[in-house]
Amino acid sequence: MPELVAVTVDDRRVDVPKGTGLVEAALAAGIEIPVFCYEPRLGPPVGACRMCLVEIEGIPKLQAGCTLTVQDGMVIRTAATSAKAAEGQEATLEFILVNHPLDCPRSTSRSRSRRSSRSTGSAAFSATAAPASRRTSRRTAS
Amino acid sequence: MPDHPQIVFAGTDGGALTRIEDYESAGGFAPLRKARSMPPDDVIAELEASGLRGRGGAFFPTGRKWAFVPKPDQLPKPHYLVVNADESEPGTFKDREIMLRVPFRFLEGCLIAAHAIQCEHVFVYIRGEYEQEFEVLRDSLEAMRKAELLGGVTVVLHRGAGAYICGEETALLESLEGKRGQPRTKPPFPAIAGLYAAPTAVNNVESITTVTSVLELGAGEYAKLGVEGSTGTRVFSLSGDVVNPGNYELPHGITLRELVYDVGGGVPGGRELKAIIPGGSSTSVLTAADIDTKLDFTSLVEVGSSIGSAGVIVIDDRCCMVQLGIRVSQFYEHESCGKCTPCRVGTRWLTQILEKIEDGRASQPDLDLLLSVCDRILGKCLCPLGDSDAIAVLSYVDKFRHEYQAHIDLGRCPLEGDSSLEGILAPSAMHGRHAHEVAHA
Repeated sequence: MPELVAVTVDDRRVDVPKGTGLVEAALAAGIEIPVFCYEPRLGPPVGACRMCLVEIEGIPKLQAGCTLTVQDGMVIRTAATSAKAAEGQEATLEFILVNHPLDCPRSTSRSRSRRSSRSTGSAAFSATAAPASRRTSRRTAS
Repeated sequence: MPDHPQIVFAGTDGGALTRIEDYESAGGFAPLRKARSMPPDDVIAELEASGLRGRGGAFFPTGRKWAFVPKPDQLPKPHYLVVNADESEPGTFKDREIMLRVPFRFLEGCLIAAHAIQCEHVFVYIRGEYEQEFEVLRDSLEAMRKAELLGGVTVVLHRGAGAYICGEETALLESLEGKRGQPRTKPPFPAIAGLYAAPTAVNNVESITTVTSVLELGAGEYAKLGVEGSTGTRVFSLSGDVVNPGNYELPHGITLRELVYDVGGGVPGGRELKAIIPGGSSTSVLTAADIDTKLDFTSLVEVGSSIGSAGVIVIDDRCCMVQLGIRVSQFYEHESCGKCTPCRVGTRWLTQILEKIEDGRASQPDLDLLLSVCDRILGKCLCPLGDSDAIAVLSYVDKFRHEYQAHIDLGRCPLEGDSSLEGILAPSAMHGRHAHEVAHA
């Protein structure tokens, strides 16, 4: 039985194994933090796209969720309950879209086949969700 | 400056101490012997007592930084000292003069620091364009090796390849490891997992050089210089529209007026002072009304700016603040490493909006957009580079809003042909050309 830590994500309390990544911990609480550059199967997180910005109690600056490992007692607010995190996420999306043609054939074909980018994100996640313990242990080792 | 005590440049008498005999007869290497006779923790305590804070721009207490490095028995890995000599902040040119004029005092500081954090490996990451500085350090290091002063410490001089971002400490470490120079996420901090994932102290050239002086004077004497919270002296790089540009070592807490007028000789050609950037291009601009502000950490924070790297840029009334914004923003756009979204996209966007304003193609919403893009960059980037651009541009609009408004109202630059940025920060195209010449020399 692995040691558990208690974290609060958007007012929902969840117990996850010590060493769990913040994005995975949120998912365990039923909250999806959108990610673009985070793909655990490709190696350690890089924190580059800034889509997963979240607010953490006690830290003044927004943090990239993908690069953090949750600590016991951590209070996390995602875009759903934090105006600051929402602003950060919207800014990132705006920066990405500002030079991106909205009639991009690649994006539209993806959204047509998967209905929406949101469900695409979830689908990508559930594909990797099964070996969660292995993923997190690899992350903490690095 | 005979009135002000010289700490960093002590004994140079305006020249350079590049011969080991001259440096030794001026009292050199006594601080190193003193440090080596002390337990490492006592050296760190001495530094903490001196109040010395980092000269690279963040002003972090040097002693505390070293105290964060775990002891070798706590973390049995090689420990490293990395000196950041990748000085590239526009308006800042102090470290090059330190390396040229007092190379031994700098290298002695490296050895004292190595003793304090108990490491045997020192890397000096020196800006690639600093050819002469590199040669002086190389020769000085060789002289110290022959004089058997290194005491088992390996000092490696590593030359950069012309990227501003490699002055950011984690990008510097990546570059030193042979990887692409892009910042890492923190934590872990370099003190715990820095170079080769081992405990690393990263310090600026001026900080390290001052360490030697702190050991020489003793913490108490050193702390008498400067003001509370900002002890000691500072090498100010004075540039722009000023009669006597150059590096001046002065105590913290002198006023901008003293620096610009008494030391720098004022604004040339009878022109009016318009603005001052107090700490390198990343810091908020001040207006002529702030001329009596003291140059220390607290006083500059109070007026909404920062002491940064102490690169003081004087701007006279010919300068168009929109053109200045373009020049600064182009620099950050050019130097953005492209890793994180807000900086990669935002710096370019800022330049585009500023160019639109300068060309007279902008309407009122463009000015709002400019400010909104700044807000969307601020605090969302992986490292301080993107923030620097946003802080600078925000301050230009904040302090000189009427000038930005005039561009929109007139549909052209109000200064047009009369504007001059000559001497105020070289255009980034010139940086690029120089770096190219060095790389292919």
